[in-house]
Amino acid sequence: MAAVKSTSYHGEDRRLVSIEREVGNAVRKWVLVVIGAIAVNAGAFIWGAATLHTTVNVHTVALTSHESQIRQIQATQRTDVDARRDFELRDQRIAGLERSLDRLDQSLNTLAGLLNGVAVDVAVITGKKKDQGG
Amino acid sequence: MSITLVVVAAVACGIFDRVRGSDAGSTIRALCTVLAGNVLVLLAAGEYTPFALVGGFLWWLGEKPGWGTPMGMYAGYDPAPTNSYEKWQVTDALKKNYRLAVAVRGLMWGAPMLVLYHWVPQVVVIPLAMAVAFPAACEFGQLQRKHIDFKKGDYHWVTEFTRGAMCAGLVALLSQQVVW
Repeated sequence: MAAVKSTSYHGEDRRLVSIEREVGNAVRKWVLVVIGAIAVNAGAFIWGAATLHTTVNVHTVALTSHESQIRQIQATQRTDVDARRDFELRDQRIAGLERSLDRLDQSLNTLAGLLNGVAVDVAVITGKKKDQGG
Repeated sequence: MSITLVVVAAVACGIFDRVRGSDAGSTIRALCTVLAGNVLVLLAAGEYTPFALVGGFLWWLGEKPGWGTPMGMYAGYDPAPTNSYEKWQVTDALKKNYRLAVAVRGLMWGAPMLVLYHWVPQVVVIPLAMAVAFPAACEFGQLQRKHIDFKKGDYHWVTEFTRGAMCAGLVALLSQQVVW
């Protein structure tokens, strides 16, 4: 009780001064801890952002490479399409040629029939002449 | 997260744990405790998250209950008198089995981190890692007993550094953030 009743030079309660000092120390300590932790977190954030930036760069390079590959594949596909179209046109031409050949065959057959008929007629006529003449 | 970064973080956590347990100023010790928790959340998340800062203070909260009695028993001291058990040693198993007690204390240390589960689900590995690292570090301390000068405080260096580093390594491994 004596310590409580005793006063400082300015008449303040010494125990109160002691409590204020302790509270002040505790507040100072935790302010420092929070500032320190925030500073380290800021560092970690900057590091994280830098790492992310590097990762994005790496992915961008990879994406560019992939885009290039995709373009090459598309070009190859385009060549394939062109080739397929060429084949189809060739098939169409061959089919047309076959049709023409068929028609020519029919025409030749017809012509052969006509010639045969003429030959028969000539033979008959000639035969008749021979028969008539013999 | 690269293996190099995990090793650096583990060594940092070991040093933080040792400084936390040293007779350095209370501000430095509190800062090291907060930073250790901070690094553990960053390791678990595998990327920067502002919740790591909160995790640091939760780690400081988990550190508060004492563990001197079971750890003293671990180091070979006589079982403590009944009235000097830690407050959390409420069952006979926790009072007699100091290995179990230390593992439970490890769980208790990491348990406040579970508050962050909603935002960083990987924090579940932190209490588990500490439950393994705490008794494992004590066992390692016992293995190194012959080479340790107890008076110089080397025992604390071995156990605390090992505990911090091992916990960080386990957190990185269990949360599958390591890229080999």
